[in-house]
Amino acid sequence: MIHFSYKHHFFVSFSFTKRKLLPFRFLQILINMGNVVQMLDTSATNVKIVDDCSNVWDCDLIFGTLPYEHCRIGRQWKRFVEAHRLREGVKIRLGAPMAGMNDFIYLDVVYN
Amino acid sequence: MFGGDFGDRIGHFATLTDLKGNQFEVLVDSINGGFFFLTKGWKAIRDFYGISLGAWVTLIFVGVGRFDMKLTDRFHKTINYPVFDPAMHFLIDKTNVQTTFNQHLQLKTSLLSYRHNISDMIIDFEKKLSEYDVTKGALV
Repeated sequence: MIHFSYKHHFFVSFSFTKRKLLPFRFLQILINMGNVVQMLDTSATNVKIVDDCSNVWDCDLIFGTLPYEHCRIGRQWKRFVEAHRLREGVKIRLGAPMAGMNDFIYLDVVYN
Repeated sequence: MFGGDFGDRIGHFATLTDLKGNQFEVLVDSINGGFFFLTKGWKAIRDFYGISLGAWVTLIFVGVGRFDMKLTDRFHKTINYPVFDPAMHFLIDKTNVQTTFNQHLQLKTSLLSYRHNISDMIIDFEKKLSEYDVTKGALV
């Protein structure tokens, strides 16, 4: 049985010019630096996030291709941010128990 | 004490509601049908009210599986309840949770684990939240 590991594949080279990429670079982080494509079904419209308190947050999932390929997780994400009083710069870890089409992904807030 | 006060009215899930309407669903576990304790979802209360140094919790039974909750700090001063419109409603992940009490729990509660461990997962990555992530209602 082959085991796939996608850990620490953080650095993906960009083929876009800097000028073209900058305005939309923030949209691409989950695609280019994260592993959401390996975690989730790109045709799915919903994902449940389980936080480190074992609470579940029902989120919309959008994979877009315009202007660049990107992924956006919304709806109850806003409530999650409010409930945990998350601020810019806080680190989170996202994980999935297996590669492929996960309905649930798991999240830890990293407190240093 | 929780079991002694509420006895057989305690189900496997309970919903705790504070004075501002915020609700916390928690998993209730029992060892040998006598010692009840709140497990999954309980940590959310600590984080939500910022009571890491400890607090007093008063639970008032209001119906099957439902409790009103009052909180005071260690010195019995009232804790400010965060106000949200609509009020927060924390639901627990019920994956792999059976609907009735688990009769085969270990007697030593310190050996029980109720949370995931991302380090054990096949895929994981870390992300620093941007201003967009925390103000626009979406993670990108």
